[in-house]
This record gives sequence, structure tokens and C-alpha cells, in this order.
Amino acid sequence: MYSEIYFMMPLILLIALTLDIVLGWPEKIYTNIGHPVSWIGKVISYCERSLNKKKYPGELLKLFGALTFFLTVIPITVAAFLMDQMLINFPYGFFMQAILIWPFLATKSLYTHVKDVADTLNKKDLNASREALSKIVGRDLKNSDENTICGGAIESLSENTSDGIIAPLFWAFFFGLPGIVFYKTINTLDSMIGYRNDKFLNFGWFSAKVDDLVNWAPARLSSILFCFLTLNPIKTFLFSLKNAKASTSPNAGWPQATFAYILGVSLLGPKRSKGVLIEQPTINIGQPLPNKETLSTALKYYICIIIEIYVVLFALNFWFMNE
Amino acid sequence: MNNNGLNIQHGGDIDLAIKKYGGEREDWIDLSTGINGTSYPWQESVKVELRNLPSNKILMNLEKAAARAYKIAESTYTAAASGGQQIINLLPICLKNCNSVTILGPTYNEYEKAFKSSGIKTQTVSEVSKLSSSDIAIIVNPNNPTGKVIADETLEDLSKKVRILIIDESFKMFSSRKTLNLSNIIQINSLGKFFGLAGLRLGFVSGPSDFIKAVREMLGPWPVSSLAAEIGIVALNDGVWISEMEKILVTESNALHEACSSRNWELVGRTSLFHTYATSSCLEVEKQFAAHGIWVRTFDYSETWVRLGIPTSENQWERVKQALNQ
Repeated sequence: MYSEIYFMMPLILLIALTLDIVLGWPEKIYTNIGHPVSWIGKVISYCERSLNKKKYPGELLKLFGALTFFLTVIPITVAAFLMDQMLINFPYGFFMQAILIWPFLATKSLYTHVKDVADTLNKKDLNASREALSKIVGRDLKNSDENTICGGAIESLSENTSDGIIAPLFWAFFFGLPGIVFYKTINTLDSMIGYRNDKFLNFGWFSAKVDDLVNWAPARLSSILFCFLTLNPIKTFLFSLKNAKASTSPNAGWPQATFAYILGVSLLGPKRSKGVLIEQPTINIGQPLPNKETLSTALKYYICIIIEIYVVLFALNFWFMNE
Repeated sequence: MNNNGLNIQHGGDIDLAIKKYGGEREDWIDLSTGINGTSYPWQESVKVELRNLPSNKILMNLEKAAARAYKIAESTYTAAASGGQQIINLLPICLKNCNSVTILGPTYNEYEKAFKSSGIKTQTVSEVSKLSSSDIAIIVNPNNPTGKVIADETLEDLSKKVRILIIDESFKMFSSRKTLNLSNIIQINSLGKFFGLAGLRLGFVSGPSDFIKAVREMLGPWPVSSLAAEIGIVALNDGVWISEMEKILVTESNALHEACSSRNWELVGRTSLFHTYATSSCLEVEKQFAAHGIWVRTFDYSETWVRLGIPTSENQWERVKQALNQ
């Protein structure tokens, strides 16, 4: 394990999580300095503009895509590592670590984004719902109705609970600040260049593959955590195991399948994203389509999951402190 | 090829395209049919065992799934068959005391053929009002290839004036379906077009009990294969796929209409699965598209009509746009 203050990691994560839930990322900070993820985004976007040219052959684009990956992930992770080493010797360094980890968690923003979709739907303002959902999903929402919007929101909520909260916590838990920064850089790369359209298929290939790799364990862990919200966790888990492969992503299908089962609705199915048809089989065929009510229930489950994470971190903290 | 002089032209005949214009099968994009280019992904969810005959229970589940998905009235019975075509061929046999048949045309040409070859007086009319005097009236709704849709109210009115009204809803989208509570209608539905599974051969017929009984008798105990039944059950129950695919098809269909606006074509009619245009010369258009490896549908009864299926992939779109803009 990585750090001398490793035993304090659960406590650090509890503080970071609480900061995120209470404060989110305050507007004031954002307007002044932006957000660490948006800084990472700027680096990626600079590399992408310089290296991803249409005239290059596919293999070269793959190579440049991999180069972009290393040019962003290595310096950013090394910087985080050095900063972390400095903090260890500081008094209350652990608190500083929590503050630095905080912006890499998206607990409040995910809730707010999905809540916006639910609220606008309750006001029967379909255009506003589409607008709200377009902030968290890449799919084409042109002709979308309540069912599509709720399906998209629930799919996004479950997937992002995994890769926006549980995966960062997972990487921070094992590797501290450099771990979470490493993970977030990869995840940001994937969300910026990991598309399967003409422009990014080759250039984003490497980042997408690594993102699949770093999310492998967290996605399955998320699914297990969700399973414990049901009366029969084993049955829920077996359902997820069987249906997770419906997703085109080797990871997203796990939390999505579990959510589909918990909520008793069908999810996934075909969609258009950035002009490309993405074919995914439906999970839970024969069950009703998700609607406003299901989306509200999903948000309640989300709160339960956060509570569950608190319980796990408290237990770990208690255990580590007594070691 | 020629079956007793009754050889009828259909879409989807890539061999004809190759014979006329050359090339290999895989070079061609087939837009000559109204079959969805995106097939239902049954491979993921259907595990089928073909050792045994399809059981009664599976067939019942299939017919139940169809009746629900197609919003068939509860007072009506539904039977599965190996494709809509098989049902069409059974119509003259299962409809007792058939005197005269009137078809709203121009439409899918197999109706006329089926009744005529059974020696039943058959005529084609171009207006709904002219159907009312007939014993049996046939409407393909939405019509192929004109895309014309007859309103439910008109159908209800018409059903009061004829003995039996046959409605073929093979191209009807699920979201526009309404239950028609009529005692003398026969509805024909096909799984192949919307689900992109024409090769599966699965269709349904719904109607009064004595008629469906006659159909069942003609079809015997195993009207469809286990494979077709299992896929049909899953596909018809897959509400997400149905509703998302409808929206995708609307988007693509609108995009096709926009792409075609560069030509001075007149729209004859469109559905979410095909567009029919009146052009200056259908053979010219056929040639232009064939030059880009796209096979379109022309009709032996029109010198101007061209029917286009909806392109589905980026590659197909690119070639269609090239063909349109040449």
C-alpha cells in the first residue's frame, strides 16, 4: 500500500465526500479558477487539436492517441504524486489531501444534474428535460419522449455512480491523491476522445481501452453495492452478471443491469449518439419502460447508495484506526 | 425463375441488380425494400433448441405477445404464420363464400395475385369510397409503396359497409396503433419489416374466431418454427427496442427526405421505412444509384416512381448522398 498515512485514507475520503456533498464545487471557485477536471480537459483538448488530424492514416492516429494519453496522464499524475509527498509532512496534511481529493468526486453534481431532468419532467417541459439530460449523456435526444429521457437519465445515473463516485473513491483508497488524479485523467480522456465515430475511433481507441481497464473492478464493486439495497442481493447479482454484457461497454452494463433489476424496468436498447447508431440489447425485456416515477425512485436509491458508501468508509476507518 | 407466368416483381432482389449492373453481392447497398436496415439483436437474448417441435405454450405466448404489441382487440383472435405472405395466400381459402374482392391500389401486388389465381373476381380501385360496394375490401395501411395512411375513423366507417375488411399493417409503427374494436376486420401484421427480420418469416393475422379457426386448420399444429417463435416473443415484448427504434427511424427518415430535397422529385408518400418519389424517369434514377452500388425499387406500373429504403449506417448515408448529388 502506498502511503505512510494510508491508515487515514478512509477518514480522508469521508472528509472529501462530505465536502463534496455539502458544498459541491462552489460557483465562486469555479468562476475564479475553474475546476481541476476542466484543467485536465484543457491539456487533453490541446493535444487533440494538435495531433488528431483527419488526413493522418488510422494506425498513426492510434499511435498519436496513445501519445496523447501518456502526455496527459504521466505529467498530471506525477504532479499529483509530488504534491501528495509534500503534504504528508505538513501538519494536518491529511486534511489538505481531503481538500485536494474533493473536486474529483461528483456526488453532488451528479445528483443535481439528474434531479434537473426529473424536475423539468415533472413540470412537463420536455425541451428543458432534453437540455438537462444532454449535459450528462452523449445520445441524440432529438425525438426523445419521457421514456427515453428517463431511461437515459437512469442509465447515466447508474453508470456515473460507478465511474464518477465509486471508481474515484476506489482509486483514491488504494493510491491516494495520485491514484484519484490518475483515474480522473483517464476517465476525462475517455469522455472527451473515447467515441466510436469517425473522428475519434482511432484517436480515442487507446484511452477508451485503458478506461475500460481502470473501471473494471469499480463497476463490479458498484453493482455489488447496489445489490445490497435489495432483499435478495444474490439474485440481483446473478441478474447483473447475466445481463451486464448487454452494454457495449464492458463495465457500464454492470451498474445499469443492477439498476434495471432494482427498479423493475427495461433499460438500454438501441440509441443514436453523435450520428452513429449504437446497438445494445435491452436489459429486462418485458418490464415497463422507465418513466418519471421510476426516475424519482432511482434518485432515492442513489441517496441510499451514498449512505452505504458512508457506512463502508466508517467501518473501514474504525478498522484501520484500531490496527 | 418464372413460376407459371405469375412472376411478380419484388424489392430486395440483389441478384437482379448484379445481373443488370454487375458487381458482387457485398458491393451493393440494398435500399429496394422497406425492411429496416437494423435488425433486432435477437442473438443476444434468444437461446433456442431445435431438437423438439415448437410447443403449444410457446405458440400461445407468441400470439399473446403479438396481440398485445399490435394492440389487437380482445374480442379478436390472433394466429401466427410463417410471414405475411403465407397469410395472404391463405385468405382466398379461409374466407368462406368469397364473391368479389376490391383492393385499394396501387399496392403490394400479391393480394391481387392470390385472389385472382383462386378464380375470385378482383378489382383494384384508387379511392377508399369505391371500396364500399364490395364484399371484401383490402387496404394496406400505411400503403406500400404510396405511404398513404387511412384514418381509423374511415376504416370504421368502411367496415360497416363491407362484409369483411382486410387491413395489412405491415408498415405501421407501434406508437400509432389504436385498438380497432370491429367484428368484421382482419388485420395482418408482419414482424420482418420493422424488426429487420424478413428472413425469419413471421407474421400474424387477427380476426373473427371462425376465420382464425380456418387459418389454424390450414396451417396445422406447427405454423412457425421454434426459432421464429422464440425470437418473436422477445422482440414483441422488447418495448425499449420498439420505442427507441421508432424514434431512430423517424430521425433517419427525415434526414433522407432532406437529402432528397436537392432533387426535383415529388414525394408520392413516405413511412418511417421507405419513401416513394415521382422522378422524371425511374430508370435514370435506378442507373444513377446503381452507379454508386445502391439498389432501389422501381415499379412495372410506373415510369417515374422510385422507392427508397432508409439508409442506416454512416457508410450507406455517404453513398446515398453521393448518388443524390451527382
